[in-house]
Amino acid sequence: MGPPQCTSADRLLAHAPTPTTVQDIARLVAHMHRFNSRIFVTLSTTLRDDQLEAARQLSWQLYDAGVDALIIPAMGLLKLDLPPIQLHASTQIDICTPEKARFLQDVGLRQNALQQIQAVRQATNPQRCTLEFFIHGALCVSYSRPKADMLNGDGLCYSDLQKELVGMAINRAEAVNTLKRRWRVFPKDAINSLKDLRKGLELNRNRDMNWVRML
Amino acid sequence: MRRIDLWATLGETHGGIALTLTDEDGHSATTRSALTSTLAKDAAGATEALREGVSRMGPTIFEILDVQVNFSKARLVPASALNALRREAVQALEADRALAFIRLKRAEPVTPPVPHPDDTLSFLANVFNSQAHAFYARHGVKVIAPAYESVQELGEVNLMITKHYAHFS
Repeated sequence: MGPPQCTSADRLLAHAPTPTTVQDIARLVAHMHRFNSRIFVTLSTTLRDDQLEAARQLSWQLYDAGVDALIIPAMGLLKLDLPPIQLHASTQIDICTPEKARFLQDVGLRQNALQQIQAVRQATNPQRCTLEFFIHGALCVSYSRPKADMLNGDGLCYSDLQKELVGMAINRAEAVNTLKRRWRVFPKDAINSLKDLRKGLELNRNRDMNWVRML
Repeated sequence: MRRIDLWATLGETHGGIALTLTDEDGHSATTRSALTSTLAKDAAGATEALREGVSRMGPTIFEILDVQVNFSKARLVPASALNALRREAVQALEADRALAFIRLKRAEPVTPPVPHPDDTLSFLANVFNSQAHAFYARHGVKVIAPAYESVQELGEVNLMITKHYAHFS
């Protein structure tokens, strides 16, 4: 583990196990580039004004570390003095329509993750916008029922739910214990405590890989 | 661990031998060695020894699929010379791969700024800082609600909207 040069900035990396340093990422990048593989880094969604400068510095550090693209989940980042690194639109931007994809292309985002691929392809320019879609884990919150006829990608992102249950906000590697937030799954009633959660509830599964995660 | 496939060709040059490595991505490197190799009595054994010597990739990221030995006559090459030749070729190939690795280019935004598809954004757009607000304003959005994290949504709100019905019993 290298010296924690940018500890505060590291907290702006989405879903990063702490501590992850830019030095760790630089080592990973150097290794993966030998295999012609690309490394994309995702930044956190909800950045406060006082975190923007740290995000800007982090983007330059990641660029210097050789990272191939930044996955941008929030548009405020585009207004910063970013390095000349390729920018991709995160699934967090919630791109469900061709109009939105076209918009993102025109503001300089190179890669989109999409649901209605065909329509979106027609609305965008293949020279300027690469389409990407997820096979697994596309939906972060839908449940799996034991006998439902749902296929891959139908699962719940368990780590996000877990973070929410133990007082971590989704998409932020930052504890928010001071805020008492309720969450609910519409249209059922709110779940107030962990005791209300059913033990053994099947949350996520993947038939191809033969695994199941339960509460 | 993943390895990159290689094809090797060992040939003769003026007064020496040359090793060419070509990888699965089409990169190639050739190194030469001036040495006075001696003719081998056991042709098959000598060629086999050369193949084996060239194939030793050790802790590199490469793996040899095939070694072609294009000598007019069977030769003996000292193991030390062959090892040095192979190591240099691997280094040169890695350098060639690194040189060919091109950084991805940034896409240019269209000017003047294109309008956003909607002129109203709810808290779902996660506008949590002034730069995000400025971005959407620049793209023609008229009403920009702050993100949920701004604690301005007072009643209950959607946590997420899912395509499938969430069922628990």
